[in-house]
Amino acid sequence: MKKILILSGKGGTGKTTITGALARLLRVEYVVDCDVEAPNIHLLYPDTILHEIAPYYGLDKAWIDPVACTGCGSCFSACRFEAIHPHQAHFVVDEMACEGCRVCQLVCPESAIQMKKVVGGKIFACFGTPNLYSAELKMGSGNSGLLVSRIKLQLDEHIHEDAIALIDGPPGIGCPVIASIKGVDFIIFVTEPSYSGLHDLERIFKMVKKQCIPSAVIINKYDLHDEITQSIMDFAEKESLPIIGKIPFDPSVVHAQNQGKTMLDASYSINQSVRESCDKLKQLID
Amino acid sequence: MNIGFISGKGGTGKTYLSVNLAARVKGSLYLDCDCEEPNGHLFFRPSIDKRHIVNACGVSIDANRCDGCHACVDFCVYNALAMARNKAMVFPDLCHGCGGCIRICHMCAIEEKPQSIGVIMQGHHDDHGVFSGFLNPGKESAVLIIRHIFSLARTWGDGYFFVDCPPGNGCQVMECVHHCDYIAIVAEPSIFGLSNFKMTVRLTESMGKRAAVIINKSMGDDDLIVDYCREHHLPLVGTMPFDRALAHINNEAKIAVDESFEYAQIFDDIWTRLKSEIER
Repeated sequence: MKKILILSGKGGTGKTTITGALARLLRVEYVVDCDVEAPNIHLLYPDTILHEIAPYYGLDKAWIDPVACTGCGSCFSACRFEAIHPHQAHFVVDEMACEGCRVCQLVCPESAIQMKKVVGGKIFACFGTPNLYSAELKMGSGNSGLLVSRIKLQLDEHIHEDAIALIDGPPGIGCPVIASIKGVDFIIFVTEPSYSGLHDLERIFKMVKKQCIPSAVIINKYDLHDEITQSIMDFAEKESLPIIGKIPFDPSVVHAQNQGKTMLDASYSINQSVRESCDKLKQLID
Repeated sequence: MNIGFISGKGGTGKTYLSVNLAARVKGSLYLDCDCEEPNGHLFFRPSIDKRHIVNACGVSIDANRCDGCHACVDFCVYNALAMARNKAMVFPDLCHGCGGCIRICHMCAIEEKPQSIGVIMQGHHDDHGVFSGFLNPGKESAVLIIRHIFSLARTWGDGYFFVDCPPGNGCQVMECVHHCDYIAIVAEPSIFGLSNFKMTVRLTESMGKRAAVIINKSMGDDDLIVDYCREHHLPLVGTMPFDRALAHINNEAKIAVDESFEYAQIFDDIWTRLKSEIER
């Protein structure tokens, strides 16, 4: 089993678009969307219908029994997340701010606080070609990192030994990204020739570097700025990161996707450059 | 007046729009709350006046006092504590700083130890204030940094504050929206953009914020977004066409409105319309 993760640091560099194209070329059996705050990859498979396979419970949330609460305020002063507020003669929990630490429960002299399971989102799948996993975080539930770990657990339960899974990662460097990196065999960084793209690539690479996971770079829209593309290549060389592809900019990519196709259908030059990236990727993962 | 630029999807142009609008409004403040990947400073290249280290609560364990009862390990829901050779140890990156372990330790072996999670660079560019938050790589959440940026901004006084928010719809975006008085949603007319745009509209509606929409990277066919705006009574205050020359300027982290009079005019028009919606 090989798990290949697509990351970028900066958003909008083309992670999902390239994941979709590589999935088709590699005929991968599993495609996983770990960008749970803005999931999109299912849109590349307009004929598939996602079914909920599991609810996602985030961390439990505190609940104060208004009858048992005497309004002493111990919970209010102990909570580090500003999640407890006075309300009339007692206290109430702001579920959005509560991080489920249970400290309020620990300090309550009246045992008036219970921890409750709260559905924080849903995990979806469509078993077919490919098997597609996705998830949606419920508005305001936070902790998207935990949801990412849960989707990957679902994948681990179903995936078989010699399958390949492509994982579309979230932008940024925070908790969902950290969760998406765990246990992957290979990382593809998709970047673009802008100073923002390069700056963000440097930041994400700094975070991932320590974990020694084999990685490679794809420069998307490389012809939008030759000099910055060169700077990205210099950075990659310095860090011994192989560049497996340079994909030109072509507005027909957006058009193709809007019509339910992938970037492989956009134009000949796009198709060729993605194929080349895919061949190099194959050499690296074998 | 905090105006939050959000989009759901990454790379739609939040930084591009907030930077260029801020650059056209006298005495404005630009707040980069995309602390995981802040980019606004690349454009403004501000002179830095102050660095504010942001600390989160963390803990340290005195191994000599620890009697190995593992009550703290059992209590921690974040799995930030573990036993090693019969002593408790902490993984600082996982600690949420709830303070539960300190309370539960009967040997008083655990004490609070602030841990740095990032930094806020406070600077200026001409008469604009520029505040940028940076999350340290490896740290999980920038919510505290965002909160701190807004409290620093309060000391700036009155005026328009352009808030560059992170992508997504999670806790960091909600923290930003919570502090904002008005929301500018940056929408990209693609199937991905539309899907995330709808999520973003739901978020602003559920948080009871007023919002306007700016379409970016338009290639002429924006009907799906325009229709959605109409259905949800969202004013559309600007449409930026995709323009290769503009993309080139932006890729070089240059402020477009400083490059040509024509671009300045485009952004002034958007600002006039956005401002009249805000004041409505």
